[in-house]
Amino acid sequence: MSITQNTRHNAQSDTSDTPVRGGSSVALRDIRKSLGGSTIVHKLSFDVQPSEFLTLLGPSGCGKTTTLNMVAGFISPDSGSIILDDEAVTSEPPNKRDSTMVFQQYALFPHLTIGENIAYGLKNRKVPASEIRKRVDGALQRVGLDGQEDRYPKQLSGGQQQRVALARAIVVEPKVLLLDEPLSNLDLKLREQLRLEIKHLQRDLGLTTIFVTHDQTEALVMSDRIAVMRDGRIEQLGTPAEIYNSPSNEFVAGFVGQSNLVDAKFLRRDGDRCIVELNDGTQVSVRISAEPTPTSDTPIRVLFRPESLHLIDTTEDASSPSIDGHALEVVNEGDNATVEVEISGGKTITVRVPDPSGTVLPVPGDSVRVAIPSETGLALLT
Amino acid sequence: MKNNRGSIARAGNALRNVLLVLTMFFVTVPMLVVVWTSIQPNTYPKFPPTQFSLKWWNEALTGEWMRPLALSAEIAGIATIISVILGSAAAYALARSNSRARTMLEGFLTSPLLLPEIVISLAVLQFISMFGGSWLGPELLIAAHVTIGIPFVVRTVGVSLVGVDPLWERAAYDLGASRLRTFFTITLPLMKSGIFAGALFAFIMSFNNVELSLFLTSRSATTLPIKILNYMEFEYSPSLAAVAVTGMAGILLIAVIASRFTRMTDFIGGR
Repeated sequence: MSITQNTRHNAQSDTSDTPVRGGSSVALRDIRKSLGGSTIVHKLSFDVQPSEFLTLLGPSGCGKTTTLNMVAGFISPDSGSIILDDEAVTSEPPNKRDSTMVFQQYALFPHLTIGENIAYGLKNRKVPASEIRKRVDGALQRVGLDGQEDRYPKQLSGGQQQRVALARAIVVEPKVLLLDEPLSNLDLKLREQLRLEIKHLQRDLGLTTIFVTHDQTEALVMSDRIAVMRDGRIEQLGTPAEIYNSPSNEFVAGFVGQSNLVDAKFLRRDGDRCIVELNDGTQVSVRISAEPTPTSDTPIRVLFRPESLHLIDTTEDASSPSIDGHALEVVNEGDNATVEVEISGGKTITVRVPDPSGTVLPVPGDSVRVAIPSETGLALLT
Repeated sequence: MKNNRGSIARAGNALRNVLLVLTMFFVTVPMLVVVWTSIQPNTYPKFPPTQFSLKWWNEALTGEWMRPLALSAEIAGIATIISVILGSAAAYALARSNSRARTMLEGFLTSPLLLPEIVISLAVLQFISMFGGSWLGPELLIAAHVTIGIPFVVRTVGVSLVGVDPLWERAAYDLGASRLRTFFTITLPLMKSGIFAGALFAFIMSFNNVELSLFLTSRSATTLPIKILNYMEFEYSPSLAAVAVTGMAGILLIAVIASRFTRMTDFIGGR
């Protein structure tokens, strides 16, 4: 805990020494890559704005790491171009690209001290020794490890090693910082702490950053924008709020956040919303994510986030549409509880009950009624 | 119960120490005998030792013996350098290649160790005469010694490379180091212990070599072991012991220097 506070303090007091850079832009244009006959990345294009934190989020095998490695230069694309600050770097090797990477397994040089590790990139860039010293000290301070420069990587904990790796990457002031699942090897508490530290550091330095992860929470917490990837394509690119509130399809909805997908029938358009009919005949007004407008009676899916649904008394006359069912499983985590409700058709939906201390939770087997406040649902085309 | 276990542990420790002393005794006694032979006056040393003399050293430290010693050292030195360069390069390629090719190549590169050296020596001799060559001498010896030096280097460097994560090389490359610079600043320092160990083995294999050198030395260029062998066919003198001690001292010195540069004991004894 004290380390976090230190880091923040240092990060603030340090901003005067190291000028905040405007950051650079990165653009990928029609990148394609296949390996061993299967296509890993299909015609991928996206832009990263100066000083933006962009996350490539997706399950393993979706091509996010391959994409990152192409930006770094470790893998060259079959076609397409990579543009760093208006300059095509597609055929430049990694050592000629002004990008640095933080790896999942830290990748600190074991025979060099912490100070030498951080100085490594600066020496390659022929920075004068006196300036190297200053910048290494500054970088160590930024990550809250001042005074550790003479120790060896093995003597540090995993979290400290990853901070060193971060310092080593940022000290050269790269045009773009690449983070390859840097938190995946750490335990939960450290992960939560470090993701905030990284975010602060990135914001303070104005570093253009591409972050690869399969962890949706990390993506939501850290990113300015998220690109959700599947099978070598971007399914949706948007701010965390857009991705969470308005996923463009079932895959995105299912990958980011908890979701209830309920079968329904499209009835009609109603302004920027639409009316759908659930299986039990209930009609609900929901938002609709995509054009074109489906024709009447088209089967669609409706997404309800667990926290947008409420449990109400079965005797209560619902002011909003509701679905009846019975409780299957009730999990009380203290600050919130989740209730699994089986509805008609054998489908299960999850309802989150915030602050369960004041309410009477159902027990498994109880009949329950789930209220659907209007406009909380989102219709997804199947 | 507790007491009992304690005494068993003590007995085990005692047994271990006894075995250790016996093993060390077994290893060092022949060498101590050689040293002792060189510093006493009798042609056939008597036990228990009573007198001390350096007279055999006067015979040993002459051109007759020092020239072959110097040649042996020179050949071993050059053969070691070549073995280390070729063997390390091969080991690196093997460590970074896929498994099937690797097993085959590794077997191939270590095969000289499986053949009796005298057979290799004969083969080299026949090979040279096949091409009409009749020259024998240091160059040929170096070439032959390299063939048995390489397997040692490939093995020891190969083992040390197992501990060098390719990710470190990627990180260095990413941080702006060229391939060459990555090799010299990251890979090479990390495989140093394997290189030193391999170099030491290669040197000793060459310096002490008899079988491989047997057919390949010429009268004007004779290595120390061959000179000793030839000498002993016709006569015997404790000055041989003094010569042997000189050689041993040289190798010991190299081992000490090598272990100062790197923790080679780590390498030989495992980390």
